[in-house]
Parts: sequence; C-alpha cells; structure tokens
Amino acid sequence: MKHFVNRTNEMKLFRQMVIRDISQRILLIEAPAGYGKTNLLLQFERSVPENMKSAWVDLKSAQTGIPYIFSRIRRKLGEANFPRLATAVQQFLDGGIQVRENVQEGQDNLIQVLSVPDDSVRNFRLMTLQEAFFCDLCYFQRPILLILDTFNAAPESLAQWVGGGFLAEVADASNVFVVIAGQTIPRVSGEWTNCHHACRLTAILDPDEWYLYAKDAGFPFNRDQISMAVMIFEGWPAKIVETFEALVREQAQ
Amino acid sequence: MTEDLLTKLAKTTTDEERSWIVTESLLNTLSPELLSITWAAAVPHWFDREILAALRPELSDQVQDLYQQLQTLSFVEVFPGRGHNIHELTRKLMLKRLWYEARDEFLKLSKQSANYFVKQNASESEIEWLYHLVVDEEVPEENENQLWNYSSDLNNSFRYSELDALSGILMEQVEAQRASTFSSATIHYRRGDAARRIYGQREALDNYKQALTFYREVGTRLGEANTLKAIGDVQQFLDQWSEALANYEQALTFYREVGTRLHIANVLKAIGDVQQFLDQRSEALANYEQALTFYREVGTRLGEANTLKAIGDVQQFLDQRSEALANYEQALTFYREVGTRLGEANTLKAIGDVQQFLDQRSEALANYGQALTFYREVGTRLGEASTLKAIGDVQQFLDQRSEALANYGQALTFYREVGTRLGEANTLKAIGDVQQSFNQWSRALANYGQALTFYREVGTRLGEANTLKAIGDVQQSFNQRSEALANYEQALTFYRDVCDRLGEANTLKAIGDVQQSFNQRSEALANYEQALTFYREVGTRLGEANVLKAIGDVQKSLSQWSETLTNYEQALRWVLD
Repeated sequence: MKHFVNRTNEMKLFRQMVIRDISQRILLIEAPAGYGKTNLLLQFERSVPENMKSAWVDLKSAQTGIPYIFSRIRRKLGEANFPRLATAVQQFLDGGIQVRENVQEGQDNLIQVLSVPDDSVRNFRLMTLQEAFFCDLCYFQRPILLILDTFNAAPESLAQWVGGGFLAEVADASNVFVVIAGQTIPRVSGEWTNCHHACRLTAILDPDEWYLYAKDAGFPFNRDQISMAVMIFEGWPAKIVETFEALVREQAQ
Repeated sequence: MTEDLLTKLAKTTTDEERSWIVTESLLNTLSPELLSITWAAAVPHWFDREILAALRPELSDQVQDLYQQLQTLSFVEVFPGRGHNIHELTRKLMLKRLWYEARDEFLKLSKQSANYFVKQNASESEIEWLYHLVVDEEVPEENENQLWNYSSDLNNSFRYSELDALSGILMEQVEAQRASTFSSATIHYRRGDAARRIYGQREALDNYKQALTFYREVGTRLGEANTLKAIGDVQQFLDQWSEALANYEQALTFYREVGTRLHIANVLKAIGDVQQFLDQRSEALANYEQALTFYREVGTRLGEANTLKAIGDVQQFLDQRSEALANYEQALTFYREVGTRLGEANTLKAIGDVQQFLDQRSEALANYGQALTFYREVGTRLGEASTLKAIGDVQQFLDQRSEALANYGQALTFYREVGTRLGEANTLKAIGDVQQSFNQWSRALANYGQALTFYREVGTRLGEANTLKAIGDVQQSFNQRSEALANYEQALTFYRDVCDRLGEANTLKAIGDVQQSFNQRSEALANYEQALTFYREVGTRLGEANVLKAIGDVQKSLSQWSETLTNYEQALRWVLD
C-alpha cells in the first residue's frame, strides 16, 4: 500500500456525504496530474461504511465509451442484480442476435445496441438503458458508491453523458453516491447542481504534513530537508514523493 | 538531502527540467535489469507481466520478479483490470527522452508492442496496437492501410466512442511529432469523423482542415478528395452551401482522377443535396440521375435507395407527383431489401405525403400507420412526431377532429422532447385550427399566439403568415375587425415576401370581407378582384367561387343586379363542378 499525505478537508467531506450528514451525493475532485487524486479515491474507498457497496471505474480504460461503465459497474456489483438492464439490452437485440452472458460479450452487446447511425435512435436507446440501469441500482437494499477516476481521459461521448444523463439520474436515485475525479470534471448542470459538491485539490505546502508522511513511509529526512523539497516543487505531491524515493535509493547504494 | 541533487535542482528553470532531474536520479538507482524493464514499461499505456516479457524477451526468466519490483516505484500505479502503468507525468518525460536520445530503442520497443497487442482480441488492445504502429517507419504504407481500414470499420459500424478514443490516443503521437505525415493526416481525418458525431461541427472542420494540409504535404489525391468531401459535409450541416458546393466539386475532380465509382456517386449525391437546398432543382436532378447510374453500376442498393428517395423529393416539389411516387416505391423496395427500417419509414411517410396531396387519404393513412410503427421500432422521435402530425392532418380533413387533436397532442409532446421548434409551431397551429372548428376561440388564440412566437424564433415567414391569417379569422369572428385587418395586412406582406399566391389570395379575400363589413365597398371590391386573379392563376376553383360570391354580395348591395347575377351564377357553376 502506498502512503497517503493528509487531505483532511476532502476526507471529512466524503465521510459526511456517505453518512448523510450533508445532502449532497455527488463529489467532484479536480486537480492537475500528480496531485494525489487516485490516492485520495483509494482512501475514500477504504473508508466507506460497512453497509455500502462500492464500484470503481477508471475512465482511462473506457475506450469503448458508455458500454464500459455499464459493464464495469454491473460486474463489480453482481451481474444478477441488473435484470432490467439485461432485459432492455435483449429487447434491442431481439432482431436475431443472440445475447451473450459473459462480461466481455456483455459489453459487446451493449456496444452493438448503441452503435447505430441515427443520433436520435441512439439517444433513445441510451435513455432506455440508462433508465433500466438506474432502476436496477435503486432496487439495491443498501447505498451504492460509484467512483469514477481519470474523468479527463474519458472519450468525449462518455464524458458528455456522465456530465448529463448519468449525473441527472444519480440526483434522482437517493441510494446512489458518486465521486468523480480528474484533471477536468463534469461541467455543472442544473439537473444535479443542488446535489453536488466540488473540490479542487491544491498543492500541499505545509512541511509538517510532509514530515508526518515521511515518518509514516520510513523516509529518514529532517524537517529542513523536507521543507526544501516542498519549496523546490511548490508542494507538488507526485514529484516530492519521487524525490524522497530517489534520495533514499541513492543513500542506500 | 544530498548537495548534488540540490545543486542540480537549483540550476533548473522549468518544471519539466526539475521533474526530469528527479526521475533520472531515481532511474539511476535501479539495477540494470529493472532500469531496462522500466524503460520498456513506459512505451505502452499499461503493462503486466506478459507484456513486459514480450517487450524484453531477454529478461523473460526474471520478469515476474522485476514486475514486482516495478510496482514498488512511486511513479507506477494500478491500471484497473489490465495491470499497471507508469504515471502519465513520468511516462511523458521518459518517452520524450527515449524518442530524442535513443530513437532506435523507441522504435524497437514500439514494434514489439505492436506485435504483442495485434495478437490480443479486445478493442482496447487493437487501439493500442495502432498507437505503436503509427511510429513504425519500416513499412509506412502498410501501416497506414491498417490504420485506415480499422478506423473505417469503426466509422462504418457507428462505433463513434471507440473512434473518438482511437483518434484521441493516437493524437498523442501526432502532437509529439512521432507519427508519419501520412498517419497524422488519417488521425486528424478520423478525429474529424468522431468530432462530427460527438464534439461538434467546428471541431470536425478544424481536424479535417489539418488533415487536408497533411494529405497535400504527402501528395495523396484520394486522401485529399475524401477530406474535401468531409469538409463539404460539415459545411452543408453548417448551412455554408456555396462553400460546401465548391469543396464537393473539387473532390469530384480528384475522385474522377483516382477514386472509385462509389466515391463519385457519393459526391454527386451530396452535390445534388446542396443544389436541392439552393433551389437549383433541375441541376440537382441531373446529379442525382448520374449518381444513380454509378450506384447501379457498383450495385450499392442503399445508395440507390437514398438517391431514388432524393429524386422523388425533388419531383414532389416540382409537382411531378406520379413520377415521385414511382421513385419512392422503388426506393422502398430497396430499403426493404437491405433492411433499413429508417429509410423504409421515411419513404412510407413521403409516399403518404404524396397520396395525401392526391386525395388518396385512406392509402396515405395506411402508409403513415406503417411508417409510425417503424419509427417507433427504431426509436426515432422526430419521425414519430412528423408522422403523427401528418395523420392528424388527414383526420382533420376527414372531419375526425377529436382523433386529429389526440394525434397532434402526442406529436407536440415528441417535438418538445427533441426540441424541434418548427414542428412544435406547425402542430400548435394545427391544434389551433381544430379548436377554432370546435368554436374554442380563446384556446385557439392561445395556441396560435405560441405558434407565432416559435415561427418568429425560427424565422419562418410562411408559418408566420398562416398564423397571422388564422388569428385574424378568429378576431373577425369576435367582431374585433380592426385587429383582424391589422393581422391580415401583416400576413399579406409575408405571403408576398415568400411569393405564396394562394395565401395572398385567401388573405385579400379576408381583407375584402372586413372592408365590406365596414361598408368600404370599393376597397373591398378592389381586393376581391385581385384575389380572383390570383385564384385563377393557381387554379383554385373553390377560392374563385367564394370570391365571386363575395363580389356578387357587394354588387348586390350597390343594386348592380345583372353583375350580381352573373357572378353568383359563375360561383354556383364552380361549386357544382
């Protein structure tokens, strides 16, 4: 496990969200590369309440677009829990194409349903699948946390849908919580604006936080040395950690 | 903290320099084997034990251990479902160094990556294969063909997300100036294809223009022609008709040099579409006919069907209704042959429109009904809305007014759903007409008012004129004669703007009616006479009869008995006819 530099405010906000201390259920985390978004999401996932189920989707893997999200979440939360989505897919494919059950082929079926020339037909199908998918999510007996990482790497059609129909449905699904992180985040829409909170991760300039981190990770540096590294990299987490690692390895040789 | 590293960092001026010093220091601490495998790991977007073994076969016996060691480095992160990857910040720096300082090694690792990913059977692996292929300089033409064929498959099977992902990932090589000019052209071209579907036409145009520059640089006529055709398509969408036409014409010239008959047919059809819009209907017909010949030669049924439908549309506009019907019927057969439900639905709707005009209302209703079923099957809300509206129109004519109202109501919902203001306006106007016939005057006025706002929003003069005329009619029934007159006058101006003789005649007649009620008999007579001329011009006997009757009424009030009798008799003759 990689060590984690304190992100107290964001952690607090996340905890408040999942125990429903605040009304928002969509948390957007925006930060430049190397600011520790993924590490923060890992911390979120580790701290979910026991009754909550979570599914992690890294959008840099989503070359197939929207079908990847459906397919990944369905796999993470259990294929059997999505009967309405399966039926909707089957209905669209009923023109003689056999519906396949395994994950890869399940994704292929979704791709096939959404691969049509006419935009209005495609939108109609997407809307139907989306409704079925969220209906299935609402039937879970427990809260669901969906974590979408690397939003900036999503193909544009997927990014548009996440910022549009997907989050609008989340706003209506009271048992669904979503965290989205990336160098960019969805543009706020009226349909879910009241339901979201956005944070921008900043550089970590406090040497004390880094000192605690170094101690925890077993890096043998004093406060002055740490302050210098923080100053040189202006609190840029990925580069500070890489510097610590390079120095420790150099010293070990 | 060592003085060496501090000194080095103190001398740097940019983030990139600082970042590289740290990464390089870290790399320098690795064992030769781990260092070698780390450089290899930076080349693909993700790696696992198997990929590393393929990239560094000489280290295959240690690869499991080295993979474990890699995972402990701070710049290595989990790539969900596929293994790991080097953090994008570090990977970018490493690739830049490798490209500029060890080009042969970069190319060797890229080739090995391409060889590995081509054997994997998943969409993301195919994209990754092409990512490595476009930097391979050994067989650029062969690689270019692979890229062209793969991206064509995605485009032709409407897998636009993957096309977007492919072109987006490959742009990384274009932006780093590692892709060949030929590949860069294709990548921009495909980025344009994806953008047209997803981002918007402006982004598409920018990418196509960039592709055109690259194709011209390498002197590829076919690429140039394809791109000019694509630019024309975007310009057509953006209503830049003359620019589109110019690009299509240039593409046609190049296709005649190096293209296939299918290329030529497609561009001729596109030229016809623009000409149809520009009211150059005979030129459009000529190009459609030529396109049709080529489609028949190459046996492309879908192209043939689309062109026959387009020819039918022009003929319908030119009042050549039986010819239009024959072409629509043939198009229908071909759409059924290739199984294109949407094409079938559109053609059935067009056939219904012609039949409605030819007073074959029950046949029209049957075809509309079938079109509606197909539109529902494929989920085309707009098609569904326009067909429901058409069914409502037929029902209104057949005096099935409540059924018409129900269909108009449903059409209105769908038009609102897809945000088609013109459809919404037409339907509100039609609803107003039915309500007027039910004597629901205030409801009719409210719907006309809304329709008028939307017609003004989209700038449709004819719709505006029809609605003003209808509002005037309601106001006349309410004895609000001067308000009615004002609306009629405005409607008349708009009918004249769009050269709608029938509309002009109806409005002049209505103005005459109001003037008659104001006892302005000579003004009324003058307007009736003008209306009569126009009714005769367009050959509307009923209109002519009504206006003759009105003229007779005025003459009667002026005690011009013989003139009155003549006009009444003629009016009666036309009505009986």
